[in-house]
Amino acid sequence: MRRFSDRMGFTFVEIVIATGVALVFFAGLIHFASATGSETSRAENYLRALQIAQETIELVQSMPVGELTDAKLQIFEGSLVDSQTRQSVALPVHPESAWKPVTKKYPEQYTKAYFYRKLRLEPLEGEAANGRFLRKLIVEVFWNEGRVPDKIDAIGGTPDRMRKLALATVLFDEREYY
Amino acid sequence: MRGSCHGTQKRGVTLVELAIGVILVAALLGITYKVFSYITNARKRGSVDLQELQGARFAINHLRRDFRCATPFIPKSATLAQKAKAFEMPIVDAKAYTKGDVTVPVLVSPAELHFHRQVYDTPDLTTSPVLEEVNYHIDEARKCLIRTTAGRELAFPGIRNVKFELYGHPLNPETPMLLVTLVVDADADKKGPGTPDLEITTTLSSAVINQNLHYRSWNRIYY
Repeated sequence: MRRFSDRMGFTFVEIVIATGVALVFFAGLIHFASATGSETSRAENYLRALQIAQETIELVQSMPVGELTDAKLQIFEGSLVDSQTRQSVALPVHPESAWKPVTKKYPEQYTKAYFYRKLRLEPLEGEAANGRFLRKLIVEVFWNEGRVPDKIDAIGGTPDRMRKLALATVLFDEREYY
Repeated sequence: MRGSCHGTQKRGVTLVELAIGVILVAALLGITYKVFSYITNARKRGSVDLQELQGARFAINHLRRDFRCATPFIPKSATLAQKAKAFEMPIVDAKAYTKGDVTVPVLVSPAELHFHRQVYDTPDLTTSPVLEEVNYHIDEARKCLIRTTAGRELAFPGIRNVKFELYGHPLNPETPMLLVTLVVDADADKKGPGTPDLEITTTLSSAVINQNLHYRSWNRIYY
Protein backbone atom coordinates (compact mmCIF):
# COMPACT_ATOMS: atom_id res chain seq x y z
CA MET A 1 0.00 0.00 0.00
CA ARG A 2 2.81 2.32 0.89
CA ARG A 3 4.43 1.83 -2.47
CA PHE A 4 1.26 2.90 -4.31
CA SER A 5 0.73 5.99 -2.17
CA ASP A 6 4.28 7.14 -2.86
CA ARG A 7 3.89 7.02 -6.63
CA MET A 8 3.59 10.33 -8.46
CA GLY A 9 0.93 10.24 -11.22
CA PHE A 10 -1.34 12.69 -13.02
CA THR A 11 -4.28 14.01 -11.10
CA PHE A 12 -7.75 14.03 -12.60
CA VAL A 13 -7.67 17.83 -12.95
CA GLU A 14 -4.38 17.66 -14.85
CA ILE A 15 -5.78 15.10 -17.29
CA VAL A 16 -8.93 17.17 -17.87
CA ILE A 17 -6.90 20.34 -18.51
CA ALA A 18 -4.49 18.53 -20.86
CA THR A 19 -7.39 16.99 -22.80
CA GLY A 20 -9.10 20.40 -23.04
CA VAL A 21 -5.96 22.07 -24.34
CA ALA A 22 -5.45 19.31 -26.92
CA LEU A 23 -9.08 19.56 -28.08
CA VAL A 24 -8.90 23.34 -28.48
CA PHE A 25 -5.64 22.98 -30.42
CA PHE A 26 -6.96 20.37 -32.86
CA ALA A 27 -10.37 22.06 -33.23
CA GLY A 28 -8.61 25.28 -34.20
CA LEU A 29 -6.54 23.51 -36.82
CA ILE A 30 -9.52 21.68 -38.32
CA HIS A 31 -11.62 24.84 -38.39
CA PHE A 32 -8.76 26.61 -40.17
CA ALA A 33 -8.60 23.86 -42.79
CA SER A 34 -12.36 23.74 -43.41
CA ALA A 35 -12.56 27.55 -43.64
CA THR A 36 -10.08 27.41 -46.51
CA GLY A 37 -12.30 24.96 -48.39
CA SER A 38 -15.46 27.04 -47.94
CA GLU A 39 -13.65 30.21 -49.08
CA THR A 40 -12.77 28.46 -52.34
CA SER A 41 -16.35 27.26 -52.76
CA ARG A 42 -17.66 30.79 -52.22
CA ALA A 43 -15.33 32.13 -54.91
CA GLU A 44 -16.50 29.43 -57.36
CA ASN A 45 -20.16 30.21 -56.77
CA TYR A 46 -19.56 33.94 -57.07
CA LEU A 47 -17.84 33.49 -60.46
CA ARG A 48 -20.69 31.27 -61.68
CA ALA A 49 -23.32 33.72 -60.45
CA LEU A 50 -21.51 36.55 -62.22
CA GLN A 51 -21.47 34.57 -65.48
CA ILE A 52 -25.18 33.74 -65.15
CA ALA A 53 -25.95 37.45 -64.69
CA GLN A 54 -23.74 38.50 -67.60
CA GLU A 55 -25.17 35.90 -69.97
CA THR A 56 -28.69 37.00 -69.04
CA ILE A 57 -27.80 40.57 -69.93
CA GLU A 58 -26.41 39.36 -73.27
CA LEU A 59 -29.55 37.31 -73.96
CA VAL A 60 -31.72 40.38 -73.37
CA GLN A 61 -29.39 42.73 -75.26
CA SER A 62 -29.51 40.40 -78.27
CA MET A 63 -33.16 41.26 -78.91
CA PRO A 64 -34.66 44.58 -79.99
CA VAL A 65 -36.16 46.35 -76.95
CA GLY A 66 -39.51 46.55 -78.73
CA GLU A 67 -39.84 42.78 -78.62
CA LEU A 68 -39.05 42.48 -74.91
CA THR A 69 -42.38 42.15 -73.15
CA ASP A 70 -42.73 41.06 -69.52
CA ALA A 71 -44.20 37.76 -70.69
CA LYS A 72 -41.19 37.06 -72.91
CA LEU A 73 -38.70 37.99 -70.20
CA GLN A 74 -40.37 35.44 -67.92
CA ILE A 75 -38.57 32.60 -69.69
CA PHE A 76 -35.28 33.74 -68.16
CA GLU A 77 -36.66 33.83 -64.62
CA GLY A 78 -36.66 31.08 -62.05
CA SER A 79 -34.55 28.45 -60.37
CA LEU A 80 -31.71 26.83 -62.30
CA VAL A 81 -32.41 23.65 -60.33
CA ASP A 82 -35.61 21.73 -61.04
CA SER A 83 -37.67 21.53 -57.84
CA GLN A 84 -38.87 17.99 -58.68
CA THR A 85 -35.78 16.25 -60.02
CA ARG A 86 -33.21 18.41 -58.15
CA GLN A 87 -31.15 18.52 -61.36
CA SER A 88 -30.06 21.44 -63.54
CA VAL A 89 -32.77 22.93 -65.74
CA ALA A 90 -32.47 23.03 -69.52
CA LEU A 91 -30.67 25.92 -71.19
CA PRO A 92 -33.01 28.46 -72.81
CA VAL A 93 -32.53 27.17 -76.34
CA HIS A 94 -35.05 27.81 -79.12
CA PRO A 95 -36.43 24.38 -80.12
CA GLU A 96 -36.84 25.32 -83.79
CA SER A 97 -33.36 26.71 -84.30
CA ALA A 98 -31.05 25.10 -86.86
CA TRP A 99 -28.28 25.02 -84.26
CA LYS A 100 -28.57 22.05 -81.91
CA PRO A 101 -26.08 22.19 -79.06
CA VAL A 102 -24.97 18.92 -77.49
CA THR A 103 -25.03 20.57 -74.07
CA LYS A 104 -28.64 20.74 -72.97
CA LYS A 105 -28.35 21.82 -69.33
CA TYR A 106 -26.20 23.79 -66.96
CA PRO A 107 -23.39 21.59 -65.51
CA GLU A 108 -24.43 19.38 -62.60
CA GLN A 109 -21.83 21.15 -60.43
CA TYR A 110 -24.19 24.16 -60.49
CA THR A 111 -26.95 22.31 -58.65
CA LYS A 112 -25.22 22.52 -55.26
CA ALA A 113 -25.60 26.31 -55.22
CA TYR A 114 -29.33 26.34 -56.18
CA PHE A 115 -28.97 29.41 -58.41
CA TYR A 116 -32.10 31.49 -58.96
CA ARG A 117 -32.42 34.26 -61.55
CA LYS A 118 -34.73 37.29 -61.64
CA LEU A 119 -34.77 40.24 -64.02
CA ARG A 120 -36.80 43.36 -64.69
CA LEU A 121 -36.87 46.04 -67.33
CA GLU A 122 -37.74 49.55 -66.15
CA PRO A 123 -38.33 52.82 -68.00
CA LEU A 124 -35.87 55.65 -67.42
CA GLU A 125 -38.08 58.42 -68.76
CA GLY A 126 -37.81 61.48 -66.55
CA GLU A 127 -34.93 60.03 -64.55
CA ALA A 128 -32.10 60.80 -66.95
CA ALA A 129 -31.36 63.07 -69.88
CA ASN A 130 -32.91 61.53 -73.01
CA GLY A 131 -34.36 58.89 -70.71
CA ARG A 132 -37.17 58.14 -73.14
CA PHE A 133 -34.63 56.39 -75.37
CA LEU A 134 -33.39 54.22 -72.53
CA ARG A 135 -34.53 51.21 -70.51
CA LYS A 136 -32.85 49.96 -67.38
CA LEU A 137 -32.26 46.21 -67.15
CA ILE A 138 -31.59 44.71 -63.71
CA VAL A 139 -30.56 41.07 -63.36
CA GLU A 140 -30.42 39.47 -59.91
CA VAL A 141 -28.86 36.09 -59.21
CA PHE A 142 -29.45 34.38 -55.86
CA TRP A 143 -27.68 31.31 -54.54
CA ASN A 144 -26.89 29.17 -51.48
CA GLU A 145 -23.63 28.09 -49.86
CA GLY A 146 -23.79 24.44 -48.80
CA ARG A 147 -27.45 24.47 -47.79
CA VAL A 148 -30.56 23.10 -49.44
CA PRO A 149 -33.24 25.83 -49.57
CA ASP A 150 -36.59 25.13 -47.95
CA LYS A 151 -38.29 26.37 -51.11
CA ILE A 152 -36.52 25.93 -54.45
CA ASP A 153 -39.10 27.92 -56.41
CA ALA A 154 -40.20 31.44 -55.49
CA ILE A 155 -42.67 32.57 -58.12
CA GLY A 156 -43.20 36.29 -57.70
CA GLY A 157 -41.47 36.40 -54.31
CA THR A 158 -38.00 36.67 -52.87
CA PRO A 159 -36.06 33.42 -53.35
CA ASP A 160 -35.04 31.47 -50.26
CA ARG A 161 -31.29 31.86 -50.80
CA MET A 162 -28.33 33.11 -48.76
CA ARG A 163 -26.52 35.27 -51.30
CA LYS A 164 -27.44 37.72 -54.03
CA LEU A 165 -25.64 39.44 -56.89
CA ALA A 166 -27.22 42.17 -59.04
CA LEU A 167 -26.00 43.62 -62.34
CA ALA A 168 -27.68 46.49 -64.17
CA THR A 169 -27.25 48.00 -67.60
CA VAL A 170 -29.02 50.43 -69.89
CA LEU A 171 -30.61 49.41 -73.18
CA PHE A 172 -31.30 51.72 -76.09
CA ASP A 173 -34.88 51.71 -77.32
CA GLU A 174 -34.55 52.29 -81.05
CA ARG A 175 -38.34 52.67 -81.54
CA GLU A 176 -38.32 56.15 -80.03
CA TYR A 177 -38.28 58.97 -82.57
CA TYR A 178 -35.82 61.84 -82.38
CA MET B 1 23.44 8.39 5.28
CA ARG B 2 19.75 8.46 5.78
CA GLY B 3 19.57 11.70 3.88
CA SER B 4 21.64 10.30 1.05
CA CYS B 5 19.41 7.28 0.88
CA HIS B 6 16.34 9.47 0.46
CA GLY B 7 16.75 9.61 -3.31
CA THR B 8 16.94 5.87 -3.66
CA GLN B 9 13.51 5.57 -2.04
CA LYS B 10 11.88 7.25 -5.08
CA ARG B 11 10.53 4.72 -7.46
CA GLY B 12 11.93 4.87 -10.99
CA VAL B 13 10.15 4.26 -14.28
CA THR B 14 9.60 0.66 -15.25
CA LEU B 15 10.27 -0.61 -18.73
CA VAL B 16 6.55 -1.14 -19.37
CA GLU B 17 5.74 2.45 -18.35
CA LEU B 18 8.54 3.74 -20.52
CA ALA B 19 7.33 1.70 -23.48
CA ILE B 20 3.73 2.90 -23.06
CA GLY B 21 4.95 6.49 -22.74
CA VAL B 22 7.02 6.22 -25.91
CA ILE B 23 4.09 4.69 -27.82
CA LEU B 24 1.74 7.45 -26.64
CA VAL B 25 4.18 10.20 -27.62
CA ALA B 26 4.73 8.56 -31.01
CA ALA B 27 0.98 8.30 -31.58
CA LEU B 28 0.48 11.93 -30.60
CA LEU B 29 3.27 13.06 -32.91
CA GLY B 30 1.81 10.93 -35.71
CA ILE B 31 -1.65 12.47 -35.31
CA THR B 32 -0.17 15.97 -35.18
CA TYR B 33 1.83 15.30 -38.35
CA LYS B 34 -1.27 13.98 -40.15
CA VAL B 35 -3.35 16.99 -39.15
CA PHE B 36 -0.63 19.42 -40.19
CA SER B 37 -0.06 17.74 -43.53
CA TYR B 38 -3.84 17.73 -44.21
CA ILE B 39 -4.03 21.44 -43.42
CA THR B 40 -0.96 22.25 -45.51
CA ASN B 41 -2.48 20.39 -48.49
CA ALA B 42 -5.85 22.07 -48.00
CA ARG B 43 -4.16 25.45 -47.93
CA LYS B 44 -2.19 24.70 -51.06
CA ARG B 45 -5.23 23.30 -52.84
CA GLY B 46 -7.34 26.27 -51.83
CA SER B 47 -4.77 28.69 -53.09
CA VAL B 48 -4.40 26.82 -56.39
CA ASP B 49 -8.18 26.75 -56.80
CA LEU B 50 -8.45 30.47 -56.36
CA GLN B 51 -5.59 31.07 -58.76
CA GLU B 52 -7.21 28.86 -61.37
CA LEU B 53 -10.55 30.57 -60.84
CA GLN B 54 -8.88 33.90 -61.42
CA GLY B 55 -7.43 32.44 -64.63
CA ALA B 56 -10.91 31.28 -65.69
CA ARG B 57 -12.33 34.75 -65.10
CA PHE B 58 -9.46 36.22 -67.13
CA ALA B 59 -10.20 33.84 -70.03
CA ILE B 60 -13.97 34.49 -69.97
CA ASN B 61 -13.40 38.24 -69.92
CA HIS B 62 -11.16 37.96 -72.98
CA LEU B 63 -13.67 35.76 -74.81
CA ARG B 64 -16.59 38.04 -73.96
CA ARG B 65 -14.79 41.24 -74.95
CA ASP B 66 -13.50 39.74 -78.22
CA PHE B 67 -16.75 38.08 -79.25
CA ARG B 68 -18.86 41.13 -78.37
CA CYS B 69 -17.64 42.82 -81.55
CA ALA B 70 -17.24 39.69 -83.70
CA THR B 71 -18.21 40.13 -87.33
CA PRO B 72 -17.92 38.19 -90.58
CA PHE B 73 -15.06 39.33 -92.80
CA ILE B 74 -16.44 40.99 -95.93
CA PRO B 75 -13.80 42.37 -98.32
CA LYS B 76 -14.53 45.33 -100.56
CA SER B 77 -14.03 43.07 -103.56
CA ALA B 78 -17.03 40.91 -102.57
CA THR B 79 -20.10 41.08 -104.78
CA LEU B 80 -23.39 42.36 -103.39
CA ALA B 81 -24.72 38.80 -103.36
CA GLN B 82 -21.70 37.62 -101.36
CA LYS B 83 -22.09 40.50 -98.94
CA ALA B 84 -25.79 39.78 -98.48
CA LYS B 85 -25.08 36.11 -97.86
CA ALA B 86 -22.43 37.01 -95.28
CA PHE B 87 -24.97 39.14 -93.41
CA GLU B 88 -27.63 36.44 -93.60
CA MET B 89 -25.28 33.73 -92.33
CA PRO B 90 -22.77 35.52 -90.13
CA ILE B 91 -21.90 32.46 -88.03
CA VAL B 92 -21.48 28.93 -89.30
CA ASP B 93 -20.43 25.54 -88.08
CA ALA B 94 -16.75 25.19 -89.05
CA LYS B 95 -17.37 21.71 -90.47
CA ALA B 96 -19.93 23.09 -92.93
CA TYR B 97 -17.77 25.98 -94.13
CA THR B 98 -16.36 25.81 -97.64
CA LYS B 99 -13.04 27.53 -98.15
CA GLY B 100 -12.65 29.62 -101.27
CA ASP B 101 -15.55 31.95 -100.63
CA VAL B 102 -14.52 35.61 -100.58
CA THR B 103 -16.24 36.35 -97.30
CA VAL B 104 -15.33 34.59 -94.06
CA PRO B 105 -18.06 34.06 -91.46
CA VAL B 106 -17.48 33.50 -87.75
CA LEU B 107 -16.40 29.86 -87.57
CA VAL B 108 -17.43 27.75 -84.61
CA SER B 109 -16.31 24.19 -83.92
CA PRO B 110 -16.39 22.37 -80.58
CA ALA B 111 -12.70 22.97 -79.85
CA GLU B 112 -11.97 26.09 -81.89
CA LEU B 113 -13.40 29.55 -82.44
CA HIS B 114 -12.24 31.70 -85.34
CA PHE B 115 -13.55 35.16 -86.17
CA HIS B 116 -12.79 38.76 -87.07
CA ARG B 117 -13.58 41.50 -84.61
CA GLN B 118 -13.92 45.23 -84.88
CA VAL B 119 -10.99 46.85 -83.08
CA TYR B 120 -12.03 49.27 -80.35
CA ASP B 121 -9.57 52.03 -81.12
CA THR B 122 -10.48 52.49 -84.78
CA PRO B 123 -9.01 55.90 -85.76
CA ASP B 124 -11.40 58.81 -86.40
CA LEU B 125 -12.45 59.52 -89.99
CA THR B 126 -12.01 55.86 -90.91
CA THR B 127 -14.84 54.81 -93.22
CA SER B 128 -14.81 51.16 -92.16
CA PRO B 129 -13.90 49.70 -88.79
CA VAL B 130 -10.46 48.14 -88.53
CA LEU B 131 -10.75 44.36 -88.28
CA GLU B 132 -8.54 41.92 -86.44
CA GLU B 133 -8.47 38.14 -86.78
CA VAL B 134 -8.88 36.23 -83.52
CA ASN B 135 -8.56 32.52 -82.83
CA TYR B 136 -9.21 30.49 -79.68
CA HIS B 137 -8.27 26.83 -79.52
CA ILE B 138 -6.99 24.16 -77.16
CA ASP B 139 -3.30 23.39 -77.51
CA GLU B 140 -3.10 19.61 -77.14
CA ALA B 141 0.60 19.64 -76.26
CA ARG B 142 0.34 22.27 -73.54
CA LYS B 143 -3.21 21.27 -72.58
CA CYS B 144 -4.48 24.81 -72.24
CA LEU B 145 -6.57 27.41 -74.06
CA ILE B 146 -4.69 29.66 -76.50
CA ARG B 147 -5.82 33.00 -77.91
CA THR B 148 -4.05 34.13 -81.06
CA THR B 149 -4.40 37.54 -82.68
CA ALA B 150 -2.14 39.64 -84.88
CA GLY B 151 0.67 37.12 -84.47
CA ARG B 152 0.57 37.36 -80.69
CA GLU B 153 -0.28 34.41 -78.53
CA LEU B 154 -1.86 34.40 -75.09
CA ALA B 155 -2.08 31.17 -73.09
CA PHE B 156 -4.62 30.49 -70.35
CA PRO B 157 -2.83 27.74 -68.42
CA GLY B 158 -5.68 26.85 -66.06
CA ILE B 159 -8.18 26.10 -68.84
CA ARG B 160 -7.70 22.42 -69.56
CA ASN B 161 -10.55 22.06 -72.04
CA VAL B 162 -13.18 24.16 -73.77
CA LYS B 163 -16.34 23.54 -75.79
CA PHE B 164 -17.90 26.07 -78.16
CA GLU B 165 -21.50 25.47 -79.28
CA LEU B 166 -24.07 27.53 -81.14
CA TYR B 167 -27.72 27.76 -80.19
CA GLY B 168 -30.68 29.84 -81.29
CA HIS B 169 -31.89 32.63 -79.01
CA PRO B 170 -35.00 31.45 -77.12
CA LEU B 171 -37.02 34.40 -78.50
CA ASN B 172 -35.68 34.25 -82.06
CA PRO B 173 -34.26 31.05 -83.57
CA GLU B 174 -32.16 32.96 -86.13
CA THR B 175 -30.25 34.97 -83.54
CA PRO B 176 -27.03 33.08 -82.82
CA MET B 177 -25.80 32.67 -79.26
CA LEU B 178 -22.45 31.09 -78.41
CA LEU B 179 -22.38 28.68 -75.49
CA VAL B 180 -18.91 28.33 -73.95
CA THR B 181 -18.07 25.62 -71.44
CA LEU B 182 -14.68 25.90 -69.77
CA VAL B 183 -13.10 23.03 -67.84
CA VAL B 184 -10.82 24.53 -65.23
CA ASP B 185 -8.01 22.44 -63.78
CA ALA B 186 -8.90 22.65 -60.09
CA ASP B 187 -5.65 21.20 -58.84
CA ALA B 188 -2.82 22.03 -61.22
CA ASP B 189 -0.13 20.55 -58.96
CA LYS B 190 -2.12 17.33 -58.47
CA LYS B 191 -1.43 17.37 -54.73
CA GLY B 192 -5.00 17.19 -53.54
CA PRO B 193 -6.89 13.92 -53.12
CA GLY B 194 -8.80 13.66 -56.41
CA THR B 195 -10.10 17.22 -56.71
CA PRO B 196 -12.70 17.28 -59.55
CA ASP B 197 -12.23 19.78 -62.38
CA LEU B 198 -14.47 22.82 -62.33
CA GLU B 199 -16.96 23.46 -65.12
CA ILE B 200 -18.03 27.00 -65.88
CA THR B 201 -20.50 27.76 -68.61
CA THR B 202 -21.66 31.04 -70.09
CA THR B 203 -23.29 32.50 -73.19
CA LEU B 204 -21.70 35.11 -75.45
CA SER B 205 -23.20 37.16 -78.24
CA SER B 206 -21.97 39.61 -80.84
CA ALA B 207 -23.59 43.03 -80.77
CA VAL B 208 -22.37 43.69 -84.33
CA ILE B 209 -23.91 40.53 -85.77
CA ASN B 210 -27.19 40.92 -83.91
CA GLN B 211 -27.54 44.54 -84.96
CA ASN B 212 -27.08 43.58 -88.60
CA LEU B 213 -29.59 40.73 -88.27
CA HIS B 214 -32.30 42.76 -86.53
CA TYR B 215 -32.01 46.01 -88.47
CA ARG B 216 -31.40 44.85 -91.99
CA SER B 217 -32.32 48.14 -93.62
CA TRP B 218 -29.77 50.21 -91.74
CA ASN B 219 -26.51 50.03 -89.86
CA ARG B 220 -24.95 47.73 -92.40
CA ILE B 221 -21.29 48.36 -92.96
CA TYR B 222 -19.84 47.26 -96.26
CA TYR B 223 -16.13 46.84 -95.95
